[in-house]
Amino acid sequence: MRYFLSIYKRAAHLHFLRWMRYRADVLVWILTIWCMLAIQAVFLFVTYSVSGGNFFGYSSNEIIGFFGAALLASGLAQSVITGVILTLSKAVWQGNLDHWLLQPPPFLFRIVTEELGIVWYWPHIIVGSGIVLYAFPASLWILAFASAIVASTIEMAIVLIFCLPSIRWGRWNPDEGLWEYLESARSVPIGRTRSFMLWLASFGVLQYSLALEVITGRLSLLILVLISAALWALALLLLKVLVRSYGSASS
Amino acid sequence: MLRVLASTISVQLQQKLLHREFWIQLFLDRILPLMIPLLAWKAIFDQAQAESLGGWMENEMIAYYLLVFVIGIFTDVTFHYEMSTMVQMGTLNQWLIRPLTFFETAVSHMVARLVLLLIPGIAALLLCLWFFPSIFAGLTLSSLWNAILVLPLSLMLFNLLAVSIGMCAFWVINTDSIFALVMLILEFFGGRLLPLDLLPVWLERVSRVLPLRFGISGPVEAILHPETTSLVPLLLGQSLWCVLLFGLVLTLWRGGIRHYDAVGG
Repeated sequence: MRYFLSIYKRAAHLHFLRWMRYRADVLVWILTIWCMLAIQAVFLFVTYSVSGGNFFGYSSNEIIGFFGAALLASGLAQSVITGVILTLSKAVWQGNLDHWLLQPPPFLFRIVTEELGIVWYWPHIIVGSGIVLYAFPASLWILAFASAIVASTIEMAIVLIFCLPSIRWGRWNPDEGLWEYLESARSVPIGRTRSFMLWLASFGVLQYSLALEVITGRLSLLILVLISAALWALALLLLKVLVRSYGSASS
Repeated sequence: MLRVLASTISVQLQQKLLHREFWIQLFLDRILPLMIPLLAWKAIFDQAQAESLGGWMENEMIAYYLLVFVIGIFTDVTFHYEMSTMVQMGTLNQWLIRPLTFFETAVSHMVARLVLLLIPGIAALLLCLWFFPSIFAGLTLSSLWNAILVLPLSLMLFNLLAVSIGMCAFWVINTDSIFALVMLILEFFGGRLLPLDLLPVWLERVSRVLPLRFGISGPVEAILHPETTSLVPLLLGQSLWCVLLFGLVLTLWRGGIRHYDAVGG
Protein backbone atom coordinates (compact mmCIF):
# COMPACT_ATOMS: atom_id res chain seq x y z
CA MET A 1 0.00 0.00 0.00
CA ARG A 2 2.80 2.39 0.98
CA TYR A 3 4.52 1.53 -2.29
CA PHE A 4 1.40 2.39 -4.30
CA LEU A 5 0.90 5.60 -2.36
CA SER A 6 4.49 6.69 -3.03
CA ILE A 7 3.93 6.09 -6.75
CA TYR A 8 0.70 8.10 -6.69
CA LYS A 9 2.40 10.92 -4.77
CA ARG A 10 5.25 11.12 -7.26
CA ALA A 11 2.83 11.00 -10.18
CA ALA A 12 0.72 13.82 -8.77
CA HIS A 13 3.84 15.91 -8.18
CA LEU A 14 5.02 15.38 -11.77
CA HIS A 15 1.56 16.28 -12.99
CA PHE A 16 1.62 19.67 -11.27
CA LEU A 17 5.17 20.31 -12.47
CA ARG A 18 4.01 19.71 -16.03
CA TRP A 19 1.14 22.16 -15.72
CA MET A 20 3.52 24.76 -14.28
CA ARG A 21 5.52 24.45 -17.47
CA TYR A 22 2.49 25.30 -19.60
CA ARG A 23 1.10 27.85 -17.16
CA ALA A 24 0.34 30.52 -19.80
CA ASP A 25 -1.83 28.08 -21.74
CA VAL A 26 -3.46 26.83 -18.53
CA LEU A 27 -4.27 30.40 -17.47
CA VAL A 28 -5.88 31.20 -20.84
CA TRP A 29 -8.00 28.02 -20.63
CA ILE A 30 -9.07 28.85 -17.07
CA LEU A 31 -10.03 32.34 -18.26
CA THR A 32 -11.98 30.77 -21.14
CA ILE A 33 -13.84 28.48 -18.75
CA TRP A 34 -14.73 31.44 -16.49
CA CYS A 35 -15.93 33.50 -19.45
CA MET A 36 -18.07 30.61 -20.61
CA LEU A 37 -19.63 30.39 -17.15
CA ALA A 38 -20.35 34.12 -17.16
CA ILE A 39 -21.93 33.88 -20.62
CA GLN A 40 -24.11 30.95 -19.53
CA ALA A 41 -25.23 32.92 -16.48
CA VAL A 42 -26.15 35.89 -18.72
CA PHE A 43 -28.04 33.58 -21.10
CA LEU A 44 -30.00 32.05 -18.21
CA PHE A 45 -30.67 35.47 -16.68
CA VAL A 46 -31.90 36.95 -19.98
CA THR A 47 -34.10 34.00 -20.96
CA TYR A 48 -35.59 33.87 -17.46
CA SER A 49 -36.28 37.63 -17.40
CA VAL A 50 -37.65 37.74 -20.95
CA SER A 51 -40.00 34.83 -20.28
CA GLY A 52 -41.37 36.79 -17.31
CA GLY A 53 -40.50 34.03 -14.86
CA ASN A 54 -42.59 31.49 -16.78
CA PHE A 55 -39.57 29.32 -17.43
CA PHE A 56 -40.82 25.74 -17.85
CA GLY A 57 -42.27 25.97 -14.35
CA TYR A 58 -38.92 26.37 -12.58
CA SER A 59 -38.52 28.92 -9.82
CA SER A 60 -35.58 31.31 -9.95
CA ASN A 61 -33.83 29.48 -7.10
CA GLU A 62 -34.21 26.16 -8.90
CA ILE A 63 -32.60 27.63 -12.01
CA ILE A 64 -29.73 29.10 -10.03
CA GLY A 65 -29.38 25.74 -8.26
CA PHE A 66 -29.37 23.95 -11.62
CA PHE A 67 -26.53 26.19 -12.76
CA GLY A 68 -24.56 25.35 -9.60
CA ALA A 69 -25.23 21.61 -9.73
CA ALA A 70 -24.29 21.48 -13.42
CA LEU A 71 -21.07 23.37 -12.69
CA LEU A 72 -20.14 21.09 -9.83
CA ALA A 73 -20.96 17.93 -11.78
CA SER A 74 -19.17 19.08 -14.90
CA GLY A 75 -16.12 20.17 -12.88
CA LEU A 76 -15.87 16.77 -11.19
CA ALA A 77 -16.41 14.87 -14.44
CA GLN A 78 -13.97 16.88 -16.54
CA SER A 79 -11.30 16.83 -13.80
CA VAL A 80 -11.27 13.06 -13.96
CA ILE A 81 -12.05 12.22 -17.56
CA THR A 82 -10.17 14.74 -19.71
CA GLY A 83 -6.75 13.49 -18.63
CA VAL A 84 -7.82 9.85 -19.02
CA ILE A 85 -8.91 10.44 -22.61
CA LEU A 86 -5.84 12.46 -23.56
CA THR A 87 -3.47 9.91 -22.00
CA LEU A 88 -5.26 6.92 -23.47
CA SER A 89 -5.30 8.41 -26.97
CA LYS A 90 -1.59 9.25 -26.80
CA ALA A 91 -0.68 5.87 -25.31
CA VAL A 92 -2.67 3.88 -27.87
CA TRP A 93 -1.54 5.84 -30.91
CA GLN A 94 2.12 5.85 -29.86
CA GLY A 95 2.00 2.19 -28.90
CA ASN A 96 2.77 2.93 -25.24
CA LEU A 97 -0.32 1.48 -23.61
CA ASP A 98 1.61 -1.68 -22.72
CA HIS A 99 3.88 0.47 -20.50
CA TRP A 100 0.82 1.56 -18.55
CA LEU A 101 -0.58 -1.96 -18.39
CA LEU A 102 2.69 -3.41 -17.08
CA GLN A 103 2.99 -1.03 -14.10
CA PRO A 104 1.96 -2.48 -10.69
CA PRO A 105 -1.02 -0.21 -9.79
CA PRO A 106 -4.24 -0.63 -11.79
CA PHE A 107 -3.70 1.43 -14.94
CA LEU A 108 -7.02 3.31 -14.90
CA PHE A 109 -6.50 4.53 -11.30
CA ARG A 110 -2.97 5.53 -12.14
CA ILE A 111 -4.06 7.52 -15.18
CA VAL A 112 -6.76 9.23 -13.12
CA THR A 113 -4.24 10.16 -10.43
CA GLU A 114 -1.56 11.37 -12.78
CA GLU A 115 -3.86 13.30 -15.06
CA LEU A 116 -6.33 14.71 -12.56
CA GLY A 117 -7.38 18.06 -14.01
CA ILE A 118 -8.27 19.94 -10.83
CA VAL A 119 -5.85 22.65 -11.98
CA TRP A 120 -8.40 23.57 -14.62
CA TYR A 121 -11.68 22.78 -12.98
CA TRP A 122 -11.41 23.91 -9.37
CA PRO A 123 -13.51 27.01 -10.20
CA HIS A 124 -16.34 24.77 -11.40
CA ILE A 125 -16.20 22.67 -8.25
CA ILE A 126 -15.90 25.52 -5.73
CA VAL A 127 -18.31 27.97 -7.38
CA GLY A 128 -20.76 25.17 -8.20
CA SER A 129 -20.77 23.94 -4.59
CA GLY A 130 -21.25 27.50 -3.33
CA ILE A 131 -24.21 28.07 -5.64
CA VAL A 132 -25.81 24.75 -4.62
CA LEU A 133 -25.50 25.72 -0.93
CA TYR A 134 -26.98 29.15 -1.67
CA ALA A 135 -29.85 28.12 -3.93
CA PHE A 136 -31.25 25.06 -2.16
CA PRO A 137 -32.49 24.82 1.44
CA ALA A 138 -30.29 22.94 3.90
CA SER A 139 -32.68 19.97 3.87
CA LEU A 140 -31.85 19.40 0.16
CA TRP A 141 -28.07 19.81 0.35
CA ILE A 142 -27.23 16.13 0.65
CA LEU A 143 -29.59 15.20 -2.16
CA ALA A 144 -28.26 18.04 -4.33
CA PHE A 145 -24.63 16.98 -3.88
CA ALA A 146 -25.50 13.31 -4.38
CA SER A 147 -27.38 14.12 -7.61
CA ALA A 148 -24.51 16.29 -8.87
CA ILE A 149 -22.00 13.52 -8.17
CA VAL A 150 -24.14 10.90 -9.96
CA ALA A 151 -24.64 13.33 -12.88
CA SER A 152 -20.86 13.76 -13.05
CA THR A 153 -20.38 10.00 -13.33
CA ILE A 154 -22.89 10.00 -16.21
CA GLU A 155 -20.89 12.71 -17.97
CA MET A 156 -17.66 10.73 -17.51
CA ALA A 157 -19.31 7.62 -19.00
CA ILE A 158 -20.70 9.60 -21.96
CA VAL A 159 -17.26 11.02 -22.75
CA LEU A 160 -15.69 7.56 -22.53
CA ILE A 161 -18.39 6.03 -24.76
CA PHE A 162 -17.79 8.71 -27.37
CA CYS A 163 -14.02 8.74 -27.26
CA LEU A 164 -13.00 5.10 -26.78
CA PRO A 165 -14.17 3.85 -30.19
CA SER A 166 -12.40 6.77 -31.89
CA ILE A 167 -9.21 6.07 -29.96
CA ARG A 168 -9.33 2.35 -30.75
CA TRP A 169 -10.55 2.31 -34.32
CA GLY A 170 -9.61 5.72 -35.61
CA ARG A 171 -6.80 8.15 -35.12
CA TRP A 172 -8.86 10.98 -33.82
CA ASN A 173 -9.93 12.11 -30.39
CA PRO A 174 -13.33 13.86 -30.28
CA ASP A 175 -12.78 15.00 -26.69
CA GLU A 176 -12.22 18.65 -27.58
CA GLY A 177 -15.35 18.91 -29.73
CA LEU A 178 -17.31 17.04 -27.09
CA TRP A 179 -16.03 19.42 -24.40
CA GLU A 180 -17.17 22.44 -26.41
CA TYR A 181 -20.56 20.82 -26.91
CA LEU A 182 -20.99 19.90 -23.23
CA GLU A 183 -19.89 23.33 -22.03
CA SER A 184 -22.19 25.27 -24.35
CA ALA A 185 -25.16 22.88 -24.30
CA ARG A 186 -25.85 22.89 -20.57
CA SER A 187 -27.26 26.40 -20.46
CA VAL A 188 -30.94 25.64 -19.84
CA PRO A 189 -32.72 23.05 -17.65
CA ILE A 190 -34.92 21.12 -20.06
CA GLY A 191 -36.35 18.39 -17.82
CA ARG A 192 -39.85 19.87 -18.02
CA THR A 193 -39.93 20.95 -21.66
CA ARG A 194 -41.87 18.96 -24.19
CA SER A 195 -39.54 19.73 -27.06
CA PHE A 196 -38.30 16.41 -28.37
CA MET A 197 -35.79 18.14 -30.65
CA LEU A 198 -34.31 20.03 -27.69
CA TRP A 199 -33.96 16.78 -25.73
CA LEU A 200 -32.33 15.15 -28.73
CA ALA A 201 -29.88 18.01 -29.29
CA SER A 202 -29.06 18.06 -25.55
CA PHE A 203 -28.37 14.30 -25.30
CA GLY A 204 -24.98 14.84 -23.62
CA VAL A 205 -26.22 17.19 -20.91
CA LEU A 206 -29.58 15.68 -19.98
CA GLN A 207 -28.08 14.37 -16.74
CA TYR A 208 -27.98 17.91 -15.30
CA SER A 209 -31.65 18.49 -16.03
CA LEU A 210 -32.45 15.07 -14.57
CA ALA A 211 -30.39 15.92 -11.47
CA LEU A 212 -32.52 19.03 -11.00
CA GLU A 213 -35.66 16.88 -11.25
CA VAL A 214 -34.21 14.60 -8.56
CA ILE A 215 -33.45 17.57 -6.30
CA THR A 216 -36.95 19.00 -6.76
CA GLY A 217 -38.47 15.62 -5.96
CA ARG A 218 -39.90 14.78 -9.38
CA LEU A 219 -37.54 11.91 -10.09
CA SER A 220 -35.97 9.23 -7.96
CA LEU A 221 -32.21 9.34 -7.39
CA LEU A 222 -32.24 5.60 -8.02
CA ILE A 223 -33.17 6.18 -11.68
CA LEU A 224 -30.23 8.53 -12.10
CA VAL A 225 -27.95 5.92 -10.47
CA LEU A 226 -29.32 3.22 -12.79
CA ILE A 227 -28.68 5.40 -15.87
CA SER A 228 -25.15 5.96 -14.64
CA ALA A 229 -24.61 2.23 -14.00
CA ALA A 230 -25.88 1.32 -17.48
CA LEU A 231 -23.65 3.90 -19.18
CA TRP A 232 -20.62 2.83 -17.12
CA ALA A 233 -21.24 -0.81 -18.01
CA LEU A 234 -21.06 0.15 -21.68
CA ALA A 235 -18.01 2.39 -21.16
CA LEU A 236 -16.10 -0.32 -19.26
CA LEU A 237 -17.02 -2.85 -21.93
CA LEU A 238 -15.52 -0.57 -24.57
CA LEU A 239 -12.43 -0.07 -22.39
CA LYS A 240 -12.08 -3.82 -22.01
CA VAL A 241 -12.32 -4.28 -25.78
CA LEU A 242 -9.68 -1.59 -26.24
CA VAL A 243 -7.26 -3.20 -23.78
CA ARG A 244 -7.89 -6.74 -25.05
CA SER A 245 -7.49 -5.87 -28.73
CA TYR A 246 -4.59 -3.47 -28.22
CA GLY A 247 -1.73 -5.94 -28.49
CA SER A 248 -2.70 -7.17 -31.93
CA ALA A 249 -3.24 -3.74 -33.39
CA SER A 250 -0.62 -1.43 -31.98
CA SER A 251 2.68 -2.83 -33.12
CA MET B 1 -2.60 33.57 -60.81
CA LEU B 2 -6.19 32.33 -60.71
CA ARG B 3 -5.17 28.95 -62.10
CA VAL B 4 -2.51 28.56 -59.42
CA LEU B 5 -5.01 29.54 -56.75
CA ALA B 6 -7.57 27.06 -58.12
CA SER B 7 -4.99 24.25 -58.06
CA THR B 8 -3.89 24.99 -54.49
CA ILE B 9 -7.50 25.19 -53.35
CA SER B 10 -8.14 21.82 -54.99
CA VAL B 11 -5.13 20.27 -53.20
CA GLN B 12 -6.19 21.75 -49.84
CA LEU B 13 -9.73 20.47 -50.37
CA GLN B 14 -8.50 16.95 -51.13
CA GLN B 15 -6.37 17.05 -47.98
CA LYS B 16 -9.29 18.18 -45.83
CA LEU B 17 -11.66 15.60 -47.30
CA LEU B 18 -9.25 12.85 -46.28
CA HIS B 19 -10.17 13.53 -42.66
CA ARG B 20 -13.68 12.18 -42.42
CA GLU B 21 -13.91 12.98 -38.71
CA PHE B 22 -14.21 16.61 -39.82
CA TRP B 23 -17.96 16.10 -40.16
CA ILE B 24 -18.41 14.71 -36.64
CA GLN B 25 -16.23 17.47 -35.22
CA LEU B 26 -18.25 20.11 -37.11
CA PHE B 27 -21.50 18.57 -35.86
CA LEU B 28 -20.33 18.36 -32.24
CA ASP B 29 -18.59 21.64 -31.69
CA ARG B 30 -20.40 23.92 -34.12
CA ILE B 31 -23.80 22.71 -35.32
CA LEU B 32 -25.17 21.36 -32.02
CA PRO B 33 -24.14 24.36 -29.88
CA LEU B 34 -25.68 26.67 -32.49
CA MET B 35 -28.93 24.67 -32.54
CA ILE B 36 -29.52 24.59 -28.79
CA PRO B 37 -30.34 28.31 -28.21
CA LEU B 38 -32.71 28.18 -31.20
CA LEU B 39 -34.53 25.11 -29.85
CA ALA B 40 -34.52 26.53 -26.31
CA TRP B 41 -36.18 29.76 -27.47
CA LYS B 42 -38.74 27.82 -29.47
CA ALA B 43 -39.56 25.76 -26.36
CA ILE B 44 -39.77 28.95 -24.24
CA PHE B 45 -42.23 30.51 -26.72
CA ASP B 46 -44.30 27.31 -26.80
CA GLN B 47 -44.37 27.18 -23.02
CA ALA B 48 -45.20 30.87 -22.56
CA GLN B 49 -47.90 30.80 -25.29
CA ALA B 50 -46.98 34.45 -25.88
CA GLU B 51 -46.92 36.27 -29.21
CA SER B 52 -43.80 38.18 -28.32
CA LEU B 53 -41.11 38.02 -25.65
CA GLY B 54 -38.71 40.89 -25.01
CA GLY B 55 -40.09 42.68 -28.07
CA TRP B 56 -39.39 39.70 -30.35
CA MET B 57 -42.13 37.79 -32.17
CA GLU B 58 -41.62 34.01 -32.25
CA ASN B 59 -41.07 34.00 -36.02
CA GLU B 60 -38.57 36.85 -35.79
CA MET B 61 -36.65 35.11 -33.03
CA ILE B 62 -36.50 31.82 -34.94
CA ALA B 63 -35.46 33.61 -38.14
CA TYR B 64 -32.73 35.44 -36.19
CA TYR B 65 -31.30 32.20 -34.79
CA LEU B 66 -31.60 30.39 -38.12
CA LEU B 67 -29.56 33.07 -39.84
CA VAL B 68 -27.03 33.10 -36.98
CA PHE B 69 -26.91 29.31 -37.35
CA VAL B 70 -26.13 29.49 -41.08
CA ILE B 71 -23.56 32.29 -40.62
CA GLY B 72 -22.06 30.27 -37.75
CA ILE B 73 -21.53 27.26 -40.00
CA PHE B 74 -19.96 29.24 -42.84
CA THR B 75 -17.63 31.11 -40.52
CA ASP B 76 -16.16 28.06 -38.81
CA VAL B 77 -12.68 29.11 -39.87
CA THR B 78 -9.86 27.34 -38.10
CA PHE B 79 -6.87 28.86 -39.83
CA HIS B 80 -5.18 29.48 -36.46
CA TYR B 81 -4.72 25.71 -36.20
CA GLU B 82 -3.08 25.42 -39.64
CA MET B 83 -0.84 28.37 -38.83
CA SER B 84 0.20 26.94 -35.43
CA THR B 85 1.05 23.62 -37.06
CA MET B 86 3.11 25.31 -39.78
CA VAL B 87 5.11 27.34 -37.24
CA GLN B 88 5.59 24.52 -34.73
CA MET B 89 6.49 21.84 -37.27
CA GLY B 90 8.66 24.26 -39.22
CA THR B 91 6.72 23.59 -42.45
CA LEU B 92 6.24 27.32 -42.80
CA ASN B 93 9.76 27.30 -44.31
CA GLN B 94 8.53 25.77 -47.53
CA TRP B 95 6.07 28.61 -48.11
CA LEU B 96 8.79 31.20 -47.57
CA ILE B 97 11.17 29.91 -50.22
CA ARG B 98 8.77 28.75 -52.94
CA PRO B 99 7.30 30.80 -55.79
CA LEU B 100 3.84 30.38 -54.23
CA THR B 101 3.61 33.05 -51.54
CA PHE B 102 2.39 32.44 -48.03
CA PHE B 103 -0.48 34.83 -48.73
CA GLU B 104 -1.68 32.59 -51.59
CA THR B 105 -1.33 29.52 -49.41
CA ALA B 106 -3.36 31.12 -46.62
CA VAL B 107 -6.08 32.21 -49.05
CA SER B 108 -6.23 28.71 -50.56
CA HIS B 109 -6.57 27.19 -47.06
CA MET B 110 -9.46 29.46 -46.22
CA VAL B 111 -11.25 29.17 -49.56
CA ALA B 112 -10.94 25.36 -49.42
CA ARG B 113 -12.45 25.40 -45.94
CA LEU B 114 -15.25 27.64 -47.19
CA VAL B 115 -15.97 25.31 -50.13
CA LEU B 116 -16.09 22.41 -47.68
CA LEU B 117 -18.46 24.31 -45.41
CA LEU B 118 -20.77 24.93 -48.37
CA ILE B 119 -21.99 21.34 -47.99
CA PRO B 120 -23.26 21.57 -44.36
CA GLY B 121 -24.12 25.26 -44.82
CA ILE B 122 -26.41 24.72 -47.80
CA ALA B 123 -27.84 21.56 -46.23
CA ALA B 124 -28.63 23.54 -43.05
CA LEU B 125 -30.21 26.34 -45.07
CA LEU B 126 -32.41 23.90 -47.01
CA LEU B 127 -33.39 22.09 -43.80
CA CYS B 128 -34.31 25.41 -42.20
CA LEU B 129 -36.47 26.31 -45.21
CA TRP B 130 -38.10 22.89 -45.04
CA PHE B 131 -38.80 22.92 -41.29
CA PHE B 132 -39.74 26.60 -41.01
CA PRO B 133 -41.15 27.61 -44.43
CA SER B 134 -43.23 30.46 -43.00
CA ILE B 135 -40.27 32.08 -41.24
CA PHE B 136 -38.59 33.19 -44.43
CA ALA B 137 -41.82 33.93 -46.32
CA GLY B 138 -41.52 37.63 -45.42
CA LEU B 139 -38.05 37.98 -46.89
CA THR B 140 -37.92 40.21 -49.95
CA LEU B 141 -35.54 40.82 -52.81
CA SER B 142 -33.89 43.57 -50.79
CA SER B 143 -33.11 40.99 -48.07
CA LEU B 144 -31.29 38.93 -50.68
CA TRP B 145 -29.51 42.02 -51.99
CA ASN B 146 -28.43 42.95 -48.45
CA ALA B 147 -27.23 39.38 -47.84
CA ILE B 148 -25.08 39.52 -50.99
CA LEU B 149 -23.59 42.81 -49.84
CA VAL B 150 -22.91 42.13 -46.16
CA LEU B 151 -22.13 38.41 -45.90
CA PRO B 152 -18.82 38.41 -47.86
CA LEU B 153 -17.45 41.14 -45.57
CA SER B 154 -18.72 39.21 -42.58
CA LEU B 155 -16.84 36.13 -43.78
CA MET B 156 -13.74 38.21 -44.34
CA LEU B 157 -13.99 39.55 -40.79
CA PHE B 158 -14.05 36.03 -39.34
CA ASN B 159 -11.17 34.92 -41.57
CA LEU B 160 -9.01 37.89 -40.62
CA LEU B 161 -9.70 37.24 -36.94
CA ALA B 162 -8.66 33.60 -37.32
CA VAL B 163 -5.50 34.60 -39.20
CA SER B 164 -4.53 37.24 -36.65
CA ILE B 165 -4.92 34.72 -33.82
CA GLY B 166 -2.98 32.19 -35.91
CA MET B 167 -0.10 34.68 -36.12
CA CYS B 168 0.28 34.42 -32.33
CA ALA B 169 1.80 30.98 -33.04
CA PHE B 170 5.12 32.78 -33.55
CA TRP B 171 5.17 33.61 -29.83
CA VAL B 172 3.08 30.98 -28.02
CA ILE B 173 3.03 27.17 -28.09
CA ASN B 174 -0.70 26.70 -28.47
CA THR B 175 -3.15 29.08 -30.14
CA ASP B 176 -6.20 26.87 -29.53
CA SER B 177 -6.80 28.33 -26.09
CA ILE B 178 -6.41 31.91 -27.32
CA PHE B 179 -8.74 31.23 -30.26
CA ALA B 180 -11.36 29.67 -27.96
CA LEU B 181 -11.22 32.61 -25.54
CA VAL B 182 -11.27 35.37 -28.16
CA MET B 183 -14.01 33.80 -30.28
CA LEU B 184 -16.12 32.95 -27.22
CA ILE B 185 -16.12 36.58 -26.11
CA LEU B 186 -16.41 38.15 -29.55
CA GLU B 187 -19.16 35.81 -30.77
CA PHE B 188 -21.16 36.41 -27.60
CA PHE B 189 -20.87 40.17 -28.07
CA GLY B 190 -21.59 39.66 -31.77
CA GLY B 191 -25.05 38.26 -30.96
CA ARG B 192 -24.49 34.54 -31.48
CA LEU B 193 -26.13 33.43 -28.26
CA LEU B 194 -28.62 36.26 -27.74
CA PRO B 195 -29.92 39.13 -29.88
CA LEU B 196 -27.95 42.15 -28.70
CA ASP B 197 -30.99 44.23 -27.70
CA LEU B 198 -31.91 41.57 -25.13
CA LEU B 199 -28.59 41.99 -23.31
CA PRO B 200 -28.40 44.22 -20.23
CA VAL B 201 -27.62 47.79 -21.38
CA TRP B 202 -24.02 47.85 -20.11
CA LEU B 203 -23.22 44.61 -21.94
CA GLU B 204 -24.87 45.86 -25.12
CA ARG B 205 -22.64 48.96 -24.95
CA VAL B 206 -19.53 46.76 -24.82
CA SER B 207 -20.63 45.04 -28.02
CA ARG B 208 -20.56 48.35 -29.91
CA VAL B 209 -16.78 48.55 -29.76
CA LEU B 210 -16.16 44.93 -30.78
CA PRO B 211 -15.92 43.59 -34.34
CA LEU B 212 -18.35 40.70 -34.48
CA ARG B 213 -21.38 42.91 -34.03
CA PHE B 214 -20.65 43.65 -37.70
CA GLY B 215 -20.10 39.96 -38.41
CA ILE B 216 -23.19 38.36 -36.88
CA SER B 217 -25.90 40.60 -35.48
CA GLY B 218 -25.55 43.44 -38.04
CA PRO B 219 -25.80 41.21 -41.14
CA VAL B 220 -28.73 39.26 -39.64
CA GLU B 221 -30.61 42.50 -38.91
CA ALA B 222 -29.87 43.75 -42.43
CA ILE B 223 -31.30 40.56 -43.94
CA LEU B 224 -34.32 40.33 -41.65
CA HIS B 225 -35.29 44.01 -41.69
CA PRO B 226 -33.98 45.54 -44.93
CA GLU B 227 -36.42 48.43 -44.73
CA THR B 228 -35.39 49.66 -41.29
CA THR B 229 -31.68 48.79 -41.31
CA SER B 230 -29.28 51.31 -42.78
CA LEU B 231 -26.59 49.53 -44.76
CA VAL B 232 -24.05 52.35 -44.82
CA PRO B 233 -22.97 52.23 -41.13
CA LEU B 234 -22.89 48.44 -41.25
CA LEU B 235 -20.73 48.30 -44.38
CA LEU B 236 -18.51 51.05 -43.01
CA GLY B 237 -18.10 49.18 -39.71
CA GLN B 238 -17.32 45.93 -41.51
CA SER B 239 -14.79 47.61 -43.82
CA LEU B 240 -13.14 49.50 -40.98
CA TRP B 241 -12.72 46.34 -38.89
CA CYS B 242 -11.42 44.43 -41.92
CA VAL B 243 -8.80 47.13 -42.55
CA LEU B 244 -7.82 47.22 -38.87
CA LEU B 245 -7.51 43.44 -38.67
CA PHE B 246 -5.59 43.28 -41.93
CA GLY B 247 -3.16 45.86 -40.51
CA LEU B 248 -2.84 43.75 -37.36
CA VAL B 249 -2.21 40.61 -39.42
CA LEU B 250 0.53 42.35 -41.43
CA THR B 251 2.19 43.72 -38.29
CA LEU B 252 2.10 40.34 -36.55
CA TRP B 253 3.37 38.59 -39.69
CA ARG B 254 6.34 40.95 -40.06
CA GLY B 255 7.23 40.71 -36.37
CA GLY B 256 6.63 36.97 -36.37
CA ILE B 257 8.80 36.26 -39.38
CA ARG B 258 11.70 38.12 -37.76
CA HIS B 259 11.15 36.04 -34.62
CA TYR B 260 10.80 32.84 -36.66
CA ASP B 261 14.07 33.48 -38.52
CA ALA B 262 15.87 33.61 -35.19
CA VAL B 263 14.42 30.54 -33.49
CA GLY B 264 12.27 28.57 -35.92
CA GLY B 265 12.92 26.00 -38.61
